Formats: sequence, structure tokens, C-alpha cells
Amino acid sequence: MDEKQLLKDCLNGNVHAQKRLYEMYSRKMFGVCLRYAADPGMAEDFLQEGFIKVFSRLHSFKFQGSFEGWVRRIMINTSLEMLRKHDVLRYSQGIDSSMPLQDDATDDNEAMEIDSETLFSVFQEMPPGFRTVFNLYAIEDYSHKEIGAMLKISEGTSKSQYARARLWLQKRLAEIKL
Amino acid sequence: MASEKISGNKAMNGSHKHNDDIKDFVKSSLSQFEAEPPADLWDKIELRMRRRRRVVFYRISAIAASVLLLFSLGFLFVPRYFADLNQPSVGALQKTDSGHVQKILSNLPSANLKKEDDRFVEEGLSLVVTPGQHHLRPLTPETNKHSEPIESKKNESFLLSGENQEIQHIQLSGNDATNDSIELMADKTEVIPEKNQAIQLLITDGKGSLILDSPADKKKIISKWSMAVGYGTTSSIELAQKATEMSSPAGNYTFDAFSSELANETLYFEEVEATTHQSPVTFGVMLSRRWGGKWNVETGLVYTQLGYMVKTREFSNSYREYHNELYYLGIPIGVRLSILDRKRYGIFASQSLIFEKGMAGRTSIQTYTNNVISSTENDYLGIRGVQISSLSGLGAEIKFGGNLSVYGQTGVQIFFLNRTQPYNIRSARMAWPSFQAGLRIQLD
Repeated sequence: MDEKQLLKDCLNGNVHAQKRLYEMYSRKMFGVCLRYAADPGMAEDFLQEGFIKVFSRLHSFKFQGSFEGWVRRIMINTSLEMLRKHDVLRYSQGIDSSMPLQDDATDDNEAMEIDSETLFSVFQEMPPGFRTVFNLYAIEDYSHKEIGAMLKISEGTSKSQYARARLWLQKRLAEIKL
Repeated sequence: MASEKISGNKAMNGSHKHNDDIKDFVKSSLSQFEAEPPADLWDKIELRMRRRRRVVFYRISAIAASVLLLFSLGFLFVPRYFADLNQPSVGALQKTDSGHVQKILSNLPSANLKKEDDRFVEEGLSLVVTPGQHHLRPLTPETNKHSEPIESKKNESFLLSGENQEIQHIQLSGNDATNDSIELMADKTEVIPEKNQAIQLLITDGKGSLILDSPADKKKIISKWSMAVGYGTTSSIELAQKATEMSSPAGNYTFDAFSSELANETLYFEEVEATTHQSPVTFGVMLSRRWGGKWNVETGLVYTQLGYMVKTREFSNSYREYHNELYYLGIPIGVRLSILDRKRYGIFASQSLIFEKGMAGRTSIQTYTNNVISSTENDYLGIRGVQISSLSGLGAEIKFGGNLSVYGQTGVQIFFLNRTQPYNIRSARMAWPSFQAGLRIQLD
């Protein structure tokens, strides 16, 4: 079905069209939510809230640019909003971590041999503060300035959090290899 | 964003010796990561969307039903009240003879009889009778047989004494020149009967007589119940500043269903140019009961509408206007002290506690590009929490005869639990002046 027609049907309140839209994007968006959530239950909440917003704000989509990108942005914003709501970011381990910023002997190349499922499970173990910054910077391509604004932290803090997250990931992956 | 990313990478590369291979690796592994959501998740989403539509409908219906109910109650009470006015008070006036007394009765408008009779109970007797020779005598059962009629003279005071100790100070006044009426007046404090004591006065002109009767069950009750219909407002306010309360870290609006979109947009993307709050508008119906001589206890139902507009700018050629309206229903509980109570006017002080629940909120987002409106989004959302406020006021009322009065009140309203509410005028400041005006009707 033509995506534009599908969106118009959704706007007209057609429940079948809404379900179709959900089926088209739910797997991808659940993947996004899982990357931000501490556990699958939380990710489910993010996804549910995100889709409610997608349907309630569908009329504001201007059919310019990628619809998937628009949905993804809503999912990310919803995830951040709900993380803040539960104070996950404020009180999470790692935001004020005193971990050093300097790399030690671990080589990035060691990580490259890890399969994506293992990588994902390691990623989910990452402290929420680190994981959020890492997600936004490394995967979503937001700048540190934007991340600072989104998380109410300074640009410098975002950079240092990313560096610590990166280091944490390197070490954890090295441990797995051993 | 791309250029920002490059600069971000450069910054990172400066902090350690490696290229950011791990970033590329994680991105390539996880950016397209997908997972199957729980099978029943769609059902939950569909249920919530259906419920959301229903809640909005119910909230609007509830407001409409409440207003209808209040009007219905009003119509139930008011016609009964006016119907009473239009009926001669049989218990209060008794015709003991036909003929001339009948003429006396017919000369007096029935509403006037009732009104005068109320005054008899409330504050004295004032009855217009036809001229002639008038005799007064108390007609309490004990005194009726023995008391001789007292011949009245114009502009003369009489002391009527019954066996049952009440002393009534009656004055007859009239104009001999016109000779068309004589006014019979009694002092308020002295005419109110003692406990369970009825008063009867006989007015006779030789051909007939009229008994004015105050039954014991009408004693001392001076309009216990009253109903008021009021309108209230306060001043509007304009905040021209970039950092509104909305985006302050102390505010919790990013987590509020109604405020979160505006809060997030202004926090991350858009700059606030101005916030304009409209004057809040309140309509209410209050029912009050007299408690003792000067105190009234009152409660009722109030409807309040709050509105504000936030103008934001994201790009130089486009801006947005967020028009928000919040609708509240509240129950006030309070006391009113009558400081001064005269026949035609009164002064009072009041203190009440108001519990308000937001029934619904409407948000309309208008996007302007090159000063031309390019899109409009409308949405109805729920309002969480309960707003509690305290209203202290001082007012005056003007009485228009009968039981109707007009009142005005000014005061200060202080709002508590503001953090439980979406952003509104009350979030900007806790204390606001309050102005109210309305009509009050004595119901009994």
C-alpha cells in the first residue's frame, strides 16, 4: 500500500490502517526503544507511549522527509522523556563517574569480533547515563551540543560521558573475549 | 547536524589516540537492530487510544451535564420561590368579615402582602390599610376575649401588651390631608415573637376587620438559605522572556501530558519569545446557609477557564503559537461573615478553600512560515492532579427589595499544589487578585 494513502487512512481514524502502520514500524522502533531502556518491560512502555504520540500527532507530519525518521524521533524523545520521568538519568550510575578518560591498553579491534546479539546484551548492561549519551552520539548522530540540550547537561559533560561510555564498552567487550 | 557530528568526532579524537572504530562498529551493529514487540502490545495501544477519545468525550459531556444540572436546580428553586410570592399568604392573613375587609385585601397587591408579611417576621410590620377609624388589639388566644380595641390616632405610638408578655411598639401614621392611607409599623425587635409564640393583630375599621397573623413556625428564621450565581476574573499577564517557568529545570512540565510537548520543544529546539496569559474566567453557583446571626456557611460548584499563548521561534522565517486552554471544575467550601447588614446594603468578608480538578485541556499549535499560517494542530488532553486554593475576600451587596441582591467582592486567591498541574497562569505566580460579582437570592 502506498505509504501516503496509509497515513491518510490513519488520519481518518481507520483502525485497520493504524494497525498496519504499527506492524510496519513496530519491530524497528522496538529495537530503538530497547537500546534506551533498562529492560524489555521499560522498552515496551516506551514503544506504547511512542505509538500513542505518533497517532495523536500524525496530522502534524507534513509528508516531507522520511516518515520513518519522524517516527524514530518521536520514539527517541519519548524514551528520553520517560527516562527523565523515572529519574533514571539523574540518579544513574555513571553520570558523575570518576572513571578516567584515558584509554588503556585495550584495542578497539578486539571488539570487532563480537556478534551483534552479544554486543546488544553488553550494551544493555551499560549504566543508563552512559548508554543514553552513547546512543544519541554514536548511533543517532546527534552532536554533543544537541545532546547537552536534550539531557540538560553541558556539551563538555556530554563529551566526557561519551568517552567514559566508550571506555566502559571497550573494557566490557575485552572481558567477554577473555 | 552532520557538521556538528564531525566536530564532535574531532573533539573525541583529540581526547584519545585511536580513531573511533568502536563507534562505527556499534553503529553498524545496532542502528538497524530490530526486535519483535510483545504480541498484545497493539491491543493495549488500541485500547488506550479508544479510551483517550472516550475520556475527552466524557469530560466535555461532564462539564455540559454539570452546567445543565445547575441550571435545572436553579429553575426548580426559582419558580417555586416566585410562585410563593404570587400567592396570598393564607396563614398570614385571615379575613374575619366580608365586605370592607375584602376591599382592603383587594386593594393590596398579593405580592405586597407576602412581602409585607415577611417584613413582619423579619423586621416589622408595614401594612397599608384604608383610612377610617382603626382599632388595634392583640389577638393571642389569652388576650383576645378581654382586650378592648384601642382607638388609633394618626402619628401616635401605641404599646400593645398581651398577657404573654410581648410588648409591641406600634405606630400608626398617615396623612389626614390626603386621607388615603395609614401605615401601620412595628419595631423589628419587639414584634418578633417569643419562642413558640404567635402574634395576631386585629385591624378593624368598624365594618370589617383584618387579622394579621404571625404563626409560631415562621419565627426568627431570617432567610436561612440563599443561592448566588457569580462571575469572577483576575488580571491578565504577559511574560516576555526567553526562559519561562516552562523550561526551568525546577519545573516538571516535561513529564506532564498536557505541557510536555511545549516544554520539550522549548527546552531543546524552540526559543520562547513571549508568553501571554489571558484573564482567568470563573462562573459559579453557590448555596449558603445562615449560621447564627452573622455567619454563613457556603459551598457550590465553580467552572474556571484558563488560557495562555506561547510564541516560539525555531528558524528565522518561521514561528509557532501554542494556544492552550484548561478547563476546571471546582468545589469551594467557605464561610461568609456579615460585617454590616442594613435594609438596603451590606458588607461582608469571606474565606473559602477551593478544590479544583482539571476536566480537560485543549491545545492548538499554529505554525507560521513567512508570517503565513502553514499548519494547525489541535488536541484535547487530560489534566492530572488537584489544584487547591484559598480565597480571602471583602465584598458589598446592594439589596433590591424582596430577596434579591447584587454583590461584588474583591480579594486574594493563593494557589497551592501548582506543581501537580500543567503550566498555566497560576504556575507563574501563586497569589492573584480576585474580583467577583453576582446575584444572590434568599431562598426561604
